Amino acid sequence: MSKKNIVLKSSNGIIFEVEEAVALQSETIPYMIEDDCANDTIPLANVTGDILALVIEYCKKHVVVADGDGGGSSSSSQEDLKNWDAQFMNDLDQSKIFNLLLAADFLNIKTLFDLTCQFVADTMIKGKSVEEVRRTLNIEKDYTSEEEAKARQENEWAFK
Amino acid sequence: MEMEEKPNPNSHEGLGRIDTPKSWSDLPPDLLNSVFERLSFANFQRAKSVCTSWHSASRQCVPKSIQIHWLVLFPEDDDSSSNNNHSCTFFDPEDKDKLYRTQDLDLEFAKSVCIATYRSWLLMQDPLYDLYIVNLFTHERINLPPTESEPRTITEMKRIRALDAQFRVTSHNGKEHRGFSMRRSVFWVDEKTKDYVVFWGLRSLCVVYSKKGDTSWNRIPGTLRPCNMVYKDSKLYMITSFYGSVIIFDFSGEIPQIMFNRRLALTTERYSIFRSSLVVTVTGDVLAVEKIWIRSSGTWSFRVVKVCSPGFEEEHEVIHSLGDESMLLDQGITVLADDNDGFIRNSIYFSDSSSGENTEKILLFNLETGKTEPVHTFHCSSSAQFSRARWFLPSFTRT
Repeated sequence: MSKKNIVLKSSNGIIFEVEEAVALQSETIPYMIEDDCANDTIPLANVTGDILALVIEYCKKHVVVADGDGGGSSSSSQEDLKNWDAQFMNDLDQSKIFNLLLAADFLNIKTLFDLTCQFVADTMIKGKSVEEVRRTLNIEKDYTSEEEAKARQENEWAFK
Repeated sequence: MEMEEKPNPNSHEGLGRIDTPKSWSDLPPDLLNSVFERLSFANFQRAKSVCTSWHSASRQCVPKSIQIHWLVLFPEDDDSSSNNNHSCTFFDPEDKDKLYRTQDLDLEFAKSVCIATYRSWLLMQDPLYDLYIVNLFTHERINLPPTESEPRTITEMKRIRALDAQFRVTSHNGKEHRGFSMRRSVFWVDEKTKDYVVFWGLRSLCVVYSKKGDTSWNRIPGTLRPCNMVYKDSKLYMITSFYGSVIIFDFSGEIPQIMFNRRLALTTERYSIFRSSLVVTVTGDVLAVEKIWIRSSGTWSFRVVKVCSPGFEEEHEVIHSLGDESMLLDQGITVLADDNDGFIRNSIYFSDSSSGENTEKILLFNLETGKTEPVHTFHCSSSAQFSRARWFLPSFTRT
């Protein structure tokens, strides 16, 4: 039995052809197929090619081998997967992580979404001062000094 | 397999949000909250100040550390040193090396004693034995009616007076009875409306309560010799040593109604019931939990007996498993456990400072293995000056 392939098109027009099992880790894509909104190509209007490539890389690694012959190259041990996930996230800059979070949410890939949220919480916010978080995530301070002082005052103890 | 197609920047085909966020500050609140809920309490509090959109998104979020016990260390009540500061110190076990300090609280706070906690609210008794509730993080304070009063609905009592740690009760014939101490207090506060109800036992005499709007303390009839109380979902659960009864009052109306009042038929364990704590489960079962120190092995053991069903039917069933719930003995409740990230199922969490090693501990007793292990330990000698300590479960407040 030949494996069915699905064609995905990024917002900037890059085409990816992937095995169905890889694409179906997204809970959004099946709806797009059912809705027949794409008979051959599924357009993803807000995922750029570089981010879609990352998503597919992740999904290929995490695809569960359905026929269970045990020899499937994609079935890695839990431990290996965890290490792979950590390495995968570590190689990304904040802008890629940001877009990956949006893509995982839009494509509804729960494990990737959780992984990204956890990574952001653990490495980009946890244990950092407010200024460090702003610098890490390239966020502009949009408080007036007065508002900021007030926001801080609410939980002044957390800043010491 | 990858092919380049001619990009068409004006293309509107496909599904999805057109107004794609461009920066971490434009993230939709639901996405942001998925990140926030993975932060510990302190990190979450800091994240709120990053920018205005994060601050407004944070209002809908409950950070995960609601499932972590914190220790609050109260300042040393020391008259001799005038620059003694009156701040509390928190120990957050998630952030082991870090101790947080509150802003300076007033002298009165330093001289008050914490007699109960509810989330991040403390029930404090001031040096004149009056009570107030204060939020550790926001410092909101609710003053309670004076304990020295002529209590409503106390027929055989005319007056309660607190002149020292002991209360004096004057009966209608003018006779004064001494030696009533305040004990077994329990309370509840609504984070949003600030509705509250506070209960305390006047030693063996009765339980009194005061709700928001009350100007005095009201006696609950039929509450002789209260041993242990839990307040949950507008109900007060009580074990009394008077005939070893379990009594449940409904406080949702104007006047408390008795829902359940049974003398427990525990002939063999008659005395153990007096030492038991009440615990109300997620589904509304009422459990009597006895904590037992086994001297020979130097270990803790627990005996859990279900005494009342959610439909207020009397039961007597020894419980050997809590299933997917974990019990917070000090809070008198069970919670659904999530093994991945929070409480461990089928376990009992309890605090212990009696080990004599100058430590404050939260311990976990696993009902399956019968083993006890420490969850969080704080070594008192290691830091700040304090006189008293109390474990609590900090909550998040919608400010």
